[in-house]
Amino acid sequence: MSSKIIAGVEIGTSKVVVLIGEIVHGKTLNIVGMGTTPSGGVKKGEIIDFNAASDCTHTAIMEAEESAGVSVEGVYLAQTGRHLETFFSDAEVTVKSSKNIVHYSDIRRLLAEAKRKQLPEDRAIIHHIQNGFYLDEELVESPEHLEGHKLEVRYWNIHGSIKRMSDSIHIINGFGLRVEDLIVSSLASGKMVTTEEERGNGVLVVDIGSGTTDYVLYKNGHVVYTGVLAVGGDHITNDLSIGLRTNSNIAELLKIKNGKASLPPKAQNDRVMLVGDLAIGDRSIARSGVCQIINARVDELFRLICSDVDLAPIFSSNKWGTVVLTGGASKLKDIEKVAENAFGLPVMLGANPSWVAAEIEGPEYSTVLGLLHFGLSYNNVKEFKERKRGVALMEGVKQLFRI
Amino acid sequence: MTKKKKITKPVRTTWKRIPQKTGRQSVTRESQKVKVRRWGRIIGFGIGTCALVLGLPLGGYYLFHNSSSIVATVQVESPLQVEIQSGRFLPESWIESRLNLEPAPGLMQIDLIGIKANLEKYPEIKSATVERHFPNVLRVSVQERYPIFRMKVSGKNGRYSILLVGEEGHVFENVNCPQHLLRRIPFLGGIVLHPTPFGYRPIKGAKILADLVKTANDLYPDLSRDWVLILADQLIMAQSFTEGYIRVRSRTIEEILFAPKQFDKQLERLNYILDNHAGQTAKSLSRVNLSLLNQPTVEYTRVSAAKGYR
Repeated sequence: MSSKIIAGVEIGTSKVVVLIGEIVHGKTLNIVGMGTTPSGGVKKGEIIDFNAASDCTHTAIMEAEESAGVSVEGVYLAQTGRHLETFFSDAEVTVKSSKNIVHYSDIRRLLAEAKRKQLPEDRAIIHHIQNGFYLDEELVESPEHLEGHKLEVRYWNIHGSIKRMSDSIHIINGFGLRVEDLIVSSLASGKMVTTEEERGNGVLVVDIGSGTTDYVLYKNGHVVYTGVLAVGGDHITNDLSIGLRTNSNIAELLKIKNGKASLPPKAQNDRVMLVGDLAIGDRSIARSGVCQIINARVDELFRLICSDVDLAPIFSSNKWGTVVLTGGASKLKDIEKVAENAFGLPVMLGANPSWVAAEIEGPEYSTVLGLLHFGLSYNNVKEFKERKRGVALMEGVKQLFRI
Repeated sequence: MTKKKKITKPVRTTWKRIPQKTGRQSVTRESQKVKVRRWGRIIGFGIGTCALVLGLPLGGYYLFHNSSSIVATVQVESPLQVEIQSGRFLPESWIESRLNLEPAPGLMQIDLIGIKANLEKYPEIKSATVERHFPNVLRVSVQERYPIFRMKVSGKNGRYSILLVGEEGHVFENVNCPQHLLRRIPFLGGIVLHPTPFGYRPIKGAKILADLVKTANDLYPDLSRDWVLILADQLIMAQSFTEGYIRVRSRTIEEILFAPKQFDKQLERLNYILDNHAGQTAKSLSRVNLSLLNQPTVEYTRVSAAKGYR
């Protein structure tokens, strides 16, 4: 049985999460191990202390390998941070055939034209996301052998700083592993918390992490917009610690235990203890004060996203179907109410697929699960191509000698 | 002339161009562990492969071409101790010198049968037992041949030497038998000795002669004490041992003839004759012929003419 062991690694601002999956025959994914450690050396999704980040990441990979009892062969690494930038590109060609039938050579010409744009030296493309072909301005899935005059393609491109990406890649290399693919966090989590139907109707997925918020917009089943904001759950904690004049650990506990994103009714005037242990220094504070701070920051976050998505060149009208919230900070109480108010659209809390184990069904694991899903798709395509090339024959011969 | 426009393919800058094998790697405890494990696996695989590649042909060669022999065995046990149990006369040193042991032999390398056979070649030794007692003791028990007769033999240089004869006719030299015991043993005469590489051939009929002497020593020791010479010529020259007779010369009787059977009865008759003769001072016994069994004959001589062995 041909199997490959891959790992999804997310080096986040608050924690490093590693999931190990076994891909069998390029078709089935079994999740066999998990490792998490509190993060270090990472701020707003970017590495600021290489050694500290390496230490945490390697510990998490080691923990995952030990829990799985296998060695990882390749890593799918999540990428986020302010260094990620996007641009829209399109290209069009005239169909050359006398009978106006689109041939493969036309498609190849079109794709080369679409990817022609040069980037600055310190930037590198992470994803070229195809938004579909347009044949005589009509959306088609595959234009080959169709009849038309003008063939058009649209791409959503995500690129990042080579230095920033090198940092995270070399952390994985330090463990003796190779990065098979870099995947933007929003694409990974978006794939996990939405269905194909939702993506077809249009959906905005907002992944609120500790240091960053990643979002992706799907329309007609394609990715049409992505973005990253360097604002996350940590900023809410930070606001609380400043507003309540306490340290960030207490503020974090207060946010989790008593925090609410929505504003309480005016009549309600209940109070909560700051620490809760009734020791010297502990004091009671108004819950409404806590909620006001949280609400202000969350509302600001969603309005920032709203304004950014409105700027998307291809998407001027707010016609997507729903908004899905995911990520660790989406567990904040009543956050969906604030989102509904900000976006003016129905909002759901994202849920990972039902087949995942109970330990990893929380929204904070949607990104790493998505990484493994990308790994499965990549290996599926790879195996198909190798089978076409005859590589599978050699694999078959190898199988004969395996015990 | 127009310049040909050079068409360049745009260079795609993807993250996959970032080199993944650089020296810029943080060495953490976990990565060190992984490196050690990986190298261990590589080295183990290498050693295993080498062992397999070299081991199979070498093993095959060893199996089919093994003509080696043991050149030496290293002993790790304590030094060998030899315990010797002998009879009355043979000294332990005499026996040990005839064991022919190799220097510092191992107990398991000793040839017990060879040593036993070697010892039993010596006529002085009737039988030998050689045993291993672990961890390091070799026990040799020897049963000696005791002399019944002695013989006076002239050597090449004309000097006489004394040889001893055992009960079964084996002839051997005196090793350690004291002289006062030898003096009690009668001489044996009328015998021709046949030399062999290990001494002399055993004397035929010696068992009959020894039977006579032993019976006399047991029943009438006063009689046998005076016997000086036993002559076996008439016994050996007879067609069969039952037809010949034995001549004995004693200090009191010049010649006594014995038939080679019924020694106890013949000795009883001799004793009777001697008892009856006791007190007669005028004449002495010169010849008693007991070989006729029921009809012994006695010859007398006058005392002055008597020729007894003194």
